[in-house]
Amino acid sequence: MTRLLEDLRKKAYSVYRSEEVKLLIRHRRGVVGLALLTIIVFMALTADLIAPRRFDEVDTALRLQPPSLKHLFGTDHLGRDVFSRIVYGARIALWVGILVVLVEAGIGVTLGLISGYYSGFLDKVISAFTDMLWAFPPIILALAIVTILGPGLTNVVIAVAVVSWAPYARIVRAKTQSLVSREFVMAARAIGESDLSIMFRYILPNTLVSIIVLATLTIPSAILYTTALSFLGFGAQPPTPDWGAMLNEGKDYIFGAPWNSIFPGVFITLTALSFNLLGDALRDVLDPKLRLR
Amino acid sequence: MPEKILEVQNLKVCYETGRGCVKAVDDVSLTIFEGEAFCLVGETGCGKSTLALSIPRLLPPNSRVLDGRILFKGKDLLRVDDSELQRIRGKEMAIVFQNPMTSLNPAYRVGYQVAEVPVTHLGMSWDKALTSAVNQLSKVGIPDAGIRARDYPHVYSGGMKQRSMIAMMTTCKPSLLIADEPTTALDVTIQAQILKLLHSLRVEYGLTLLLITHNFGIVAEVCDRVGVMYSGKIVEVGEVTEIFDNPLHPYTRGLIECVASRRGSKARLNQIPGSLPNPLNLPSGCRFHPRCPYTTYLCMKEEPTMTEATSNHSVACHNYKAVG
Repeated sequence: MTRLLEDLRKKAYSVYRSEEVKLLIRHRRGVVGLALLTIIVFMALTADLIAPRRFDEVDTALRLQPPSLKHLFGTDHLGRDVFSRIVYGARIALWVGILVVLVEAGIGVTLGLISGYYSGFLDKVISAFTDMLWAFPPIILALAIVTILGPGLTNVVIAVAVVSWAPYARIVRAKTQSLVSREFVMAARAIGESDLSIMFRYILPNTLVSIIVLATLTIPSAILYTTALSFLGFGAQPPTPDWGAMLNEGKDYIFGAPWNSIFPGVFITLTALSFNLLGDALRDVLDPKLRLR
Repeated sequence: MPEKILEVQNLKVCYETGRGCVKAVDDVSLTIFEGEAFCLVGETGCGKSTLALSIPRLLPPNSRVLDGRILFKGKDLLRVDDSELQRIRGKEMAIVFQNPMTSLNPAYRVGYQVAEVPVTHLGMSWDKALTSAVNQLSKVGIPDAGIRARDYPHVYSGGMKQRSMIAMMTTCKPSLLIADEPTTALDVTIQAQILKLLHSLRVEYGLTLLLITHNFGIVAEVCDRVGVMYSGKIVEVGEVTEIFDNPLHPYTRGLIECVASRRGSKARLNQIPGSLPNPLNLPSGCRFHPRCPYTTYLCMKEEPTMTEATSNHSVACHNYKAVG
């Protein structure tokens, strides 16, 4: 008996998540996603070491060179090494994608929880606001916000997050409404939990699966939105090696030097794919009901 | 005389609907004494669950308490502030629900959920609380509690979930346990085990039990005193033997006669004619009069009030002497 207690206590703390980790390792597509993401994260972390050149090193003698051993992904119209720029660009893509999702999930989840939990006036106000935002073309609103805040990546992150939290608010609100009437929430009230504790410890964990799935879907779109803003001159300023900006710069030479656009495009796709695969795996692993025992 | 632990006075609760306010509990008064097991019986829709949920103030948002007082250890629960209410819930008063399938949080392990109550209320450390949670789970009859405490609720059976609910609700040794049809969703053998468990916990912790049920078999098994509800009102209250041997309200009598027995041949089961009245359109006078075999002119005109028939037995009927 004491051994069991000991075991339980250990489980409850240190190795609390070990089962989940084990399951994730067994999830094949999840491993692929994780591997891809690891490569991209590795690129971002060690950019200074693995990039043969600086991302802004111009060499006009070597303009639009095709891929070779010396320039793995070729060079662009200013003679910059595309591989080096992609390696450095991983930093921006990851930073922007994750930051946007964190900010928009933070806004959306909080508002969704509040409006789903406290039905009535507060819910009406928040829902009306969400619907308004939903009806507005996001890129135009984002442009307006960046215009006010001024160009720069941080402002782009803020703008994209502010225009795209609506799906989070809606999904969390709907989930919350269905969970509030469940008996375990009533039971939580019956054992004397406060509203705040019920919202964050009883309702939020049970909506987490949907939030994770949504986040994996919005990381790629967050990257695309920031890319679009970069293209329009509001986001990453040259010579920042933003993948989207590279894609757009390369489009003028698409017939003569397609590697300028292809490689950034491939890396945007791979990043999006890695997040999607990992998200699916996390959904399977984190939902106790989908778990095979 | 044991002390009063819960006193409900003239409670009126209604639900907002599109067609007006439907009174689910209408002017109900009820006293429960320390240490006893009190049963509320009545058919579906008579307001017994509403009454039970209104005590810890867990009614859904579309309901309203119109009037009345709920005195729990001298404090009016309808008027205490939220922080005081949170302190009372779970620590001094607990409630077990009808459907154990959804009563546990699917996102946490069972042991963790049981441990949480003493952490919140008694300031116990997690270490100690987890140990006591395992003890509590084994006390309510979860086999291998140390291992099963690590499971998520979805791998538990219905009976195990209800046991864990009871474990969770009783870790702080509350003085009042409200059980709202705790065995309705379970099969008969598990029912008996759960009732036995509730009984042993009563003996061990000295807790008072308010049991809501529609099953007279459970009433006979568990209770000391019984209150019979009909259409939002309590029509008869008395000691369990009194109610069974000498029912004074025609409705109680009808209910007891409805219970199938093996006596006699394969005759038709007794039944009470008609159905519960529409709460938006109640009959005049006594609410039971359209279904009652003893109806007189007075019953249609005047609503009966609770009268004491004997020292431990009250009834709200004009003709109880003719019934008894």
